[in-house]
Amino acid sequence: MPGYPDDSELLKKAQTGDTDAFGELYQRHAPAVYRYLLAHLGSQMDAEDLTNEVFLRAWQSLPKYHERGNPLLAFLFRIAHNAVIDQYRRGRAAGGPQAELDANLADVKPGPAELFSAGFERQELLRLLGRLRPDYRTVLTLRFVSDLTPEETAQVMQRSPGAVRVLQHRALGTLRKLLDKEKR
Amino acid sequence: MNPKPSLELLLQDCLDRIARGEDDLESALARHPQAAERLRPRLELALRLQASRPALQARPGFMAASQARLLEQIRAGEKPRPVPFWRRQLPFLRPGRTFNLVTLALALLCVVTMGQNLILGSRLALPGETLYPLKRGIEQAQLALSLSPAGDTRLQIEFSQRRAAEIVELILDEQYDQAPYATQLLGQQVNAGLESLDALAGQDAALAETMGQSFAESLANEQLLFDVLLQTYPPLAHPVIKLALEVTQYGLETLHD
Repeated sequence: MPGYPDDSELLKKAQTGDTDAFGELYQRHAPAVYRYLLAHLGSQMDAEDLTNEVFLRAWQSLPKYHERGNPLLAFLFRIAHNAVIDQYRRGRAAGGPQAELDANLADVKPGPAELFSAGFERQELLRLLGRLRPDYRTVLTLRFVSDLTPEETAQVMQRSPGAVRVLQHRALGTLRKLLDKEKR
Repeated sequence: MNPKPSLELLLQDCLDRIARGEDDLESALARHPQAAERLRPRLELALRLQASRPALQARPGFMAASQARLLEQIRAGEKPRPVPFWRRQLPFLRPGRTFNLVTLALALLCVVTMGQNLILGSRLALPGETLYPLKRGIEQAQLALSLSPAGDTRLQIEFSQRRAAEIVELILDEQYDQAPYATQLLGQQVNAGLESLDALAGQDAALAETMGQSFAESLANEQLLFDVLLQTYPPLAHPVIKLALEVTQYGLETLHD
């Protein structure tokens, strides 16, 4: 579309040092990255810090980045995925990833921001995702919360698209069972 | 004869068709009548997850402030902003974290061992300055030492006033590079204050109402001040002032609800 550059064009400009182009990429993709981080960490503050860090790391890695076979979204979410793992490692002393997530979820009261639009939904979503094993949580977050395609999800998770479809199917099944159990 | 497609493939097919707008839930399931019963719960859940996206949106103003800060960092050729020392070492010293004895011991140690001058100096520090992390660390220690929801709320409101004052000082000093970050901190602090009020309301509704009024008054005063700045300061300062106004307005609206 004229006047509306796609990711590829913006990326090329950003690789030549065009910070405005990188800013545009941030505007397009930071909300999805933020949602992914919040779904994994349960803490608004951590998700905000890490969103910034992910894009800084992306900027620093741009000179080494080749788009061929590795779309921008997969590249960004791969960095986000590693940032989440680093964050878990930092929290390990406090009892490991699940303990870190549980501790954060305890903080996720529907703050003023959420009372407007989401309230209980947000809490429920984070709590349910937090009860899944990490690869299930990751696949559901990437696919449905951050809206990545199975192919992009496969690249972030370093699996085949077929394996992602199977994982997605199983993760949805497990989540369904959790919900049914809670209803009873 | 083609082998029967797996449920995983059928699920993906339904999701793809719905995403492209070719089908809704029912018409997608109708394409696979033999598997519809087994597909339905997963498909419904997937759509529910997609519909929950707005619940995970960032606070208003965060994305714009964070983008501005990121670009400033990049243009200045900065390395990634390290996690503040106190936060790396003391991950439990954060607003809302459960109070525990270790926190108390560390907070006391922090207060006792720091030189008085350093603490006094840090109280005046602004975002981006060396002593600023110390200032925030001391605030976290104060919160950790507060033993009641009312005390927490009083502190959170006071810290919110400090964050607003920092933005004003940065604008007056024409230090616009740190102002978006300061606005982001104001947003976090207003949120923390409102959350603390919510918690207090569960225990003492009358006190929460009084403190809520005082919070609203201070937000209204800050808004007035930002309005004046918007009228008197050059356009370069306007984006950050508008963001600060957005945050205070948001706090006021939430309090009035």
